[in-house]
Amino acid sequence: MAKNNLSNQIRRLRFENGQMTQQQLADKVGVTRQTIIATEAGKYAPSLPLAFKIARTFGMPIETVFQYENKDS
Amino acid sequence: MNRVLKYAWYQLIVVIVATLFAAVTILIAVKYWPGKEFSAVIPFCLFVFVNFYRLFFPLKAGEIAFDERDEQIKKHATMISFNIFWYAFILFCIIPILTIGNGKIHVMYLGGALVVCGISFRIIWSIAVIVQYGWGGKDGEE
Repeated sequence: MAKNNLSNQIRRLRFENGQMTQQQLADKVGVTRQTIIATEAGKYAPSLPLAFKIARTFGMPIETVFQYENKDS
Repeated sequence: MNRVLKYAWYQLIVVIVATLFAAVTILIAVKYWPGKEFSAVIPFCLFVFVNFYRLFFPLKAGEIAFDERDEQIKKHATMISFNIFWYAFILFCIIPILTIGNGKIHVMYLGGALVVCGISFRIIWSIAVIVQYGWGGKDGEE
C-alpha cells in the first residue's frame, strides 16, 4: 500500500525570515493560524494555490518549502 | 479556537439544550395536558438561537472567518451527517413496514421522524467538525 508524505520547511523558514509568527504568516497568505499550525505539523496538505502563496511569502520555489515523498509500505 | 469550531460547539450546545427542554416539556404535556401534546413542541423554537451565532461572536476587523481547510472540514462533516440523516430516515420509513405491515401509523410519525433526523443531522455535523479539528482526529487531513 502506497503512503504519501508531504513534509515542509515552514517552521525553519519562518525563523529565518525575521522570526515570523504563525499569525503573521497566516495573515500574509489569507488563512487562519490553525491552518498554518496544521500545515506545519504535516497534518494538513494545503491546496496548490496556498502552497504557492506560502512559498512566495518566503521568496522560495515551492519545492524548497514542500517536499513530497511516496513511500511503499 | 477558530470560528467554525466555535460555531460547532455553539450549535451542539443550543441543539442539545433545546432538545432536552422540548423532551421534558413533551413528557409533562403528555402527563398533565392530554390532547394538547403538540403544543409541547414550542420549546423547539429555541433552535432559532443557532442563527444568532453572529450576534454572540461578531467578526473582528481583519479576522479571517474561514479558509480552505475549514471549508474541507465543513464539507466532510456535511457529507457524514447527510449520509446518516438519509439512512436514519429510510430506517424510520421501513420500521412501520416491518412491524405493522399493511396497518396504520400515526399521522405525526413521519413528521416526528423528520424532526429526529434533523436534530441528529445538526448534532452529528457539530461532532464531526469538533473531531476533525483535533479531538483525537487528524485536523482535516485528507
